[in-house]
Amino acid sequence: MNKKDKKLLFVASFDDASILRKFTILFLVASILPMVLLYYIYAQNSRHGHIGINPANFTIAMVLMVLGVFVGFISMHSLLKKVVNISKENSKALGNILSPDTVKELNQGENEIVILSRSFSAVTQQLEEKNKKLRSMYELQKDFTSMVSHELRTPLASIKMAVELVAEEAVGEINIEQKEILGRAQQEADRLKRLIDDILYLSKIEADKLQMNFMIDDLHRVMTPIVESQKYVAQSRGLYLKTEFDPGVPQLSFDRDRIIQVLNNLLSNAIKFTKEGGITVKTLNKISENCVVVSVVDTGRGISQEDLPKLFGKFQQIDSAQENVDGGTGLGLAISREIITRHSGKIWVESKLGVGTAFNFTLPIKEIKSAKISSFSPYSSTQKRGQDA
Amino acid sequence: MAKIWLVEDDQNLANLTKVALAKKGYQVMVFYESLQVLAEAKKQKPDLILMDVMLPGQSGPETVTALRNDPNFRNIPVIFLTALLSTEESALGMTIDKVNYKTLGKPYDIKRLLEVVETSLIKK
Ligand SMILES: Nc1ncnc2c1ncn2[C@@H]1O[C@H](COP(=O)(O)OP(=O)(O)O)[C@@H](O)[C@H]1O
Ligand SMILES: [Mg+2]
Repeated sequence: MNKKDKKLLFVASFDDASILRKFTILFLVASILPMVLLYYIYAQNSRHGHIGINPANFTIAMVLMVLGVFVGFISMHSLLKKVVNISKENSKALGNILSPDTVKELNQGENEIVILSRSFSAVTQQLEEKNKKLRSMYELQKDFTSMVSHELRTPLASIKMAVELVAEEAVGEINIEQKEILGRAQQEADRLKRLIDDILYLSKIEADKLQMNFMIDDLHRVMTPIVESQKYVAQSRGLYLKTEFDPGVPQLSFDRDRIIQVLNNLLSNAIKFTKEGGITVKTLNKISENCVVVSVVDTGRGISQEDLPKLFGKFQQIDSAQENVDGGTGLGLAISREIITRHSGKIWVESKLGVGTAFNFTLPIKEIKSAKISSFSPYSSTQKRGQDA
Repeated sequence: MAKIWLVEDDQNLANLTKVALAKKGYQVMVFYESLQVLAEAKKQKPDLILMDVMLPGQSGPETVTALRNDPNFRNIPVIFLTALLSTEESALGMTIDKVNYKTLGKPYDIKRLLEVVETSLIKK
């Protein structure tokens, strides 16, 4: 076995008995030998009468020296033992991570420390590469949603554009019947677009890939413009839309855009399924449960007891296809439930056939630390948006 | 009338979009590849560029970055056409140019397309 191979063995196997033995012998030779020599010289000198030092002092010095060597030995020994252990772990990791060829290559070193540090950095490098690979796999998976989105939307864009060009008479006049037929095609193309949007949105939120943007905000301030804009839709159908806001509702931490999405969905459902009367939007600070309850109550056709549990499932529409004229996707409530769950809230429905329906959701009141309030003004979310744009 | 370059690898969508714009009187030149655009850019320049994001080879944003190196193209408005849902993608334009860009999601309707084209041309 040549020197290099021995070294390789030293690093690769880390036989701790052999390295400690090696160290002990080296240490003893290096420290005790000078002491023996020193004593020999002293003894020689004192025999010849050239005493330059008090024998008592010399003894004390010798004792201290032995003690120092002993302490040095113990601490070096334990330190070395630790190094050996680390190296052992490292060589284990090396075995797992690096190929035998790489280990061999690494061991072409000048000394143990160089080899050791080199193997450490090799392991780190290898881990980094593995990490990169994993990350790109994650990206790929994340990109799958984007790819599906792209692949579906592009042909749909062509279909919509083609139908629209003819329907809008951009390429020549058409009669009323033709227009009507194309109108149906357009409706379905639009529904397909909404479906793609909703499915992708839902798959994203279910896979927890949707970044939530929680901000402390005034719930009523966020809700009011949404209710106002839906009021026009309700009024055009002869329905009222009113609010009963609890002034005791505190500032809450929520994702503004997502809560708007939920509210819009509940409101459009309520308007869609109500022929007479109207809709009331309520809020309540439920102190006993430390949450705020938001309710959208309608005087619509209601939902039968057996249909109630289905509603929050995907593609669950109670109506026959003909009835559902405005082309809902049946995903609105499923999406709403995911959004509320992300807020650690609950969403549920109460209904009586022929009387009306109430959809309710809660937003928890979290203890907002005073420091946080000062840094988040009620308008901070809009301000931030403005800066981003 | 304004000259528009339309860069879109989906030939059906490119040609239909061209019809919609041409009917409004715009002069439209269609490119299916980004390399063609870079070659044409050496000869002339348009008033507006409609640029698909996901193009084979060089992506839309990459192509725009290359075009922007030419001082003649520095201020030409760009509208990205994207079928990608993710906001990261629609923010791509931001890193290239903070002023003259817009994003139009696919499928877009003719009305919206014309609106965005008109406002981009006015702003210019
Ligand atoms: N306020 C309501 N009154 C009666 N039925 C409702 C109401 N809201 C929802 N529904 C029922 O629940 C179904 C699922 O709603 P949703 O998930 O929002 O999908 P979509 O509105 O697209 O049909 C609706 O199709 C309808 O049958
Ligand atoms: Mg709905």
